[in-house]
Amino acid sequence: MRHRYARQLQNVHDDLLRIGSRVEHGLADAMRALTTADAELATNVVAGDREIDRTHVAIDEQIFELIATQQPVASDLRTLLATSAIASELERAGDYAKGIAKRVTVLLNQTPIVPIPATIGRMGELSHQMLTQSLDAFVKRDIAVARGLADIDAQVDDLEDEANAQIRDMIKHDVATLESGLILLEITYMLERLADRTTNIGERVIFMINNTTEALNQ
Amino acid sequence: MTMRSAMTLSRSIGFADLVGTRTRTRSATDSVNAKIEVRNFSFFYGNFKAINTVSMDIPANHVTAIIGPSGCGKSTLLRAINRMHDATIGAHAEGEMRFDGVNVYDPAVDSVLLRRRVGMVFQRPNPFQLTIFDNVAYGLRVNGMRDKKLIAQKVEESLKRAALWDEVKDRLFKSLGTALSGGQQQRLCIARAIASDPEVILMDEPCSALDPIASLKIEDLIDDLRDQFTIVIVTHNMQQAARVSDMTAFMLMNRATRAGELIEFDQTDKMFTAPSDQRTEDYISGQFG
Ligand SMILES: Nc1ncnc2c1ncn2[C@@H]1O[C@H](COP(=O)(O)OP(=O)(O)OP(=O)(O)O)[C@@H](O)[C@H]1O
Ligand SMILES: [Mg+2]
Repeated sequence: MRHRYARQLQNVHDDLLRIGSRVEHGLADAMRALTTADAELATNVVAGDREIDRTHVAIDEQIFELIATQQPVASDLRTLLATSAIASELERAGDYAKGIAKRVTVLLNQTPIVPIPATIGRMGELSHQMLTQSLDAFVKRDIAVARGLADIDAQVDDLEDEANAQIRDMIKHDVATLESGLILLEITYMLERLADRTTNIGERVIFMINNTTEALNQ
Repeated sequence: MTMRSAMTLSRSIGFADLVGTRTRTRSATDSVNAKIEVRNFSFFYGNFKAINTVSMDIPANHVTAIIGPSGCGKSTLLRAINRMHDATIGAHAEGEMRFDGVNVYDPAVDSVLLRRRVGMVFQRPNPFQLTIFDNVAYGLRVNGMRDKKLIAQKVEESLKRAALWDEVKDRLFKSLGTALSGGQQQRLCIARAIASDPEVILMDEPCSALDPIASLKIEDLIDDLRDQFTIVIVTHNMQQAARVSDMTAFMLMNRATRAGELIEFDQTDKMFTAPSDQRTEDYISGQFG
């Protein structure tokens, strides 16, 4: 029954996963561009963000139409509201990946070339893991997986403090690294914000499944 | 955030919590009590058990909707409230249907008096072949009212409460009730039902013969009446149930026994945002059968 409705719900679901996978790739590429000094890869990430924005708009249009024409209720309605919110979070996460890629392009034009602290690489890995895990929680409708994001988020916060201390030390020792150091500080900030977006996604997933609100980000 | 407050409310069940769920509601000190307590209530047509051990508390001065697929026993349950089945041969009840604490199936209960306190509005508007005025005055006269001034006053008041007065006040004695539009006829029937000051109004798919505009007028009317009456409405239109009711009961026929059963009864907010039973979820989402 309600075949058209079921198809429309499936389309929205698929589009969300598509946007999620684009953001995952964007972040992975931005981090790889940073650690391998690949300016071309960084430029690709910036260009790829437009597709994420387009898909986000398309998802919201579909959800708007579904609510107006199919009157979804209960779990369907919660899923659609969560999907719309998650799409926005992903779109913002994509913006951070794009922001990181842009900073990488600028960073590669600085002299002297500074070493990238391993803690930043680690932050990138954990943020990426959180992104994947938040999407897994959505697909599997798994509250435990969503809740698991809180712990990783705390690790990301700690790593950010550590990385920032290292960057400040670097600048203190050699003031010529000031410009590069400031760019790296922006990158750690964006990684931390990106990780927060994934805890927001986890909270939406919990609402979708349980109809309750829980904070995953103390 | 409204969603958050709706969720907090829906977590606690029971209609004592109904107070405050609607923006238009009464003060928090008002207590909500059960007007009708259905207790292990079963109903039979001869040997056939049409509904099986239903228990629910219908709150006073609220709107309770009964939803469910065709044949699940909604009308049977509704009509059992004012013993409309009395004339049906072989029809009988088990368990209790308590009205203000009194089991209406107690032999001591006078069904005529009961029906005066429990009015009924049917699916197809059924005005009498009388003038608009006499349609409403009829029940009053049957109930022994003789004072013409009082009757006229009561008719006007009822037509106003039924939101029909302005449309018919110029032809009260000229037009037959049957000459009105479908939606007006239904509001006339509601005026007739409320004229004798019932406490409960039962409505069995009151809008199914009406166009959307006329239906919305009836819904507005139900909303206006909820403060003075306890309303129980059977509807096939789930969005209508969601719009007008405070509590929703979902019934389903048991495949093995063919008897209708109550699957879930809860605040309407809860039923349409996070029902507890998967069968309710499937039905209200249209993923049924
Ligand atoms: N007078 C009667 N005699 C015998 N069986 C009856 C009678 N009235 C109803 N039934 C049976 O009882 C069951 C419940 O009927 P009921 O009319 O209460 O269902 P309903 O939920 O109101 O359905 P609908 O949505 O189609 O109006 C059905 O199987 C029906 O055939
Ligand atoms: Mg019926």
